[in-house]
Amino acid sequence: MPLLRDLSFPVLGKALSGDGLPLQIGPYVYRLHSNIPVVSKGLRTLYADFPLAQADQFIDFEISLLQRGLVQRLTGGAEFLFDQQSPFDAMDAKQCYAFLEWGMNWCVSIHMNEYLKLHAAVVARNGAGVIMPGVPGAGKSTLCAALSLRGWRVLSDEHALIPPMTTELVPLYRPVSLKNESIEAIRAFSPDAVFGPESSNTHKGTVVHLKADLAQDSHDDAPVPAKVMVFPQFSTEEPQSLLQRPRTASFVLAAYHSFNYSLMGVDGFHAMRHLIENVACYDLVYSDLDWAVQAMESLLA
Amino acid sequence: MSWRAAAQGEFYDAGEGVVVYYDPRSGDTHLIGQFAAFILQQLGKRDMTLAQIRELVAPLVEAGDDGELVDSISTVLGDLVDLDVLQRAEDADD
Repeated sequence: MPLLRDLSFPVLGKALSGDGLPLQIGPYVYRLHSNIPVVSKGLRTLYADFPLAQADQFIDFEISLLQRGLVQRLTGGAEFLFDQQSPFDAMDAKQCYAFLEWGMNWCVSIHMNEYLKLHAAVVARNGAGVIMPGVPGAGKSTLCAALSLRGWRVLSDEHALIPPMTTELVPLYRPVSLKNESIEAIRAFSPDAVFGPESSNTHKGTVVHLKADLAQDSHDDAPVPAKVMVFPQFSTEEPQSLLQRPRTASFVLAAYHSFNYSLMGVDGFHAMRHLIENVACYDLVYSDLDWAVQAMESLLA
Repeated sequence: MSWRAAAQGEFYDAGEGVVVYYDPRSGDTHLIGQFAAFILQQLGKRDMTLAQIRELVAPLVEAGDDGELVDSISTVLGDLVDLDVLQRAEDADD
């Protein structure tokens, strides 16, 4: 299957401004349209190793990030469109790369319910999956980024996709989103880290995305069995610790971090129960990334 | 006055002293004590008065002050009503 890196920059730009760029991302096909240069630059940097979808494949998500009309061009505005509809307010075009990634997350968060979905980073080592649920700011993306730079595979920075009544994790790799202090922390952690365009002054502050498909199997589509669930918490005020936590309390917390547990009704309860009964659950409090990576290594040793 | 579970829910007891309870009527999930879970499970099978619950529970707990046991049951019933997973059978039949 051809990769995005096989397209020359002019061909990529032509696809984005023309019929669209179809990308295979996990189990889904996104077709992207844009006439904004930072979008093509970001895709070229961060999605170089993604497979291009075949022309006859079903398109799950049709997405556009466009500057439309003279007013938007003059005022520096831009729009995110999903199936030609505009679900969000117009944005500053300088922030549009972050909005593209958020919009791509939104597509899965809102629309897809064939899986039990947790708001979680998902990583794997030697074929064993770790789910890391957390609220924004908990430190899951920072840890996920650090793990990718130490040889772990990232299955997702945002969504744990679990077919009900299994412990399988369906890969949905996309670049890892970093905010504010986390950006410098990861630059310091690995000077070779590759970042996409920076979006400043967003409602989340400064945002950049990290190219984290560094493992050889980053784009394999086979599910990975979940072995552990870790609830990470970055904190400089508490001592670093890795402690096993009760399954029942983990059930409720994981349900809280789910996009569709309630929507699934009693099937969600049984799916979550099956998952929780089959993974070991931990709280990880960390302030030092090297320590946190070692702690994670110890879980799968 | 007798009591009834608002719905026949689902329980997940991992033997940790607390139990996950899923209420299919509201879609809410709660973490409740094992004692409360036992009472709620029984009230999902049939309506019971406080005295009937006491009779059912008494052999399962350590012998002690009967008044204390009744107080404990009353507290649990109040907590379950607050969670909206338990109701008075008379109210439900209205």
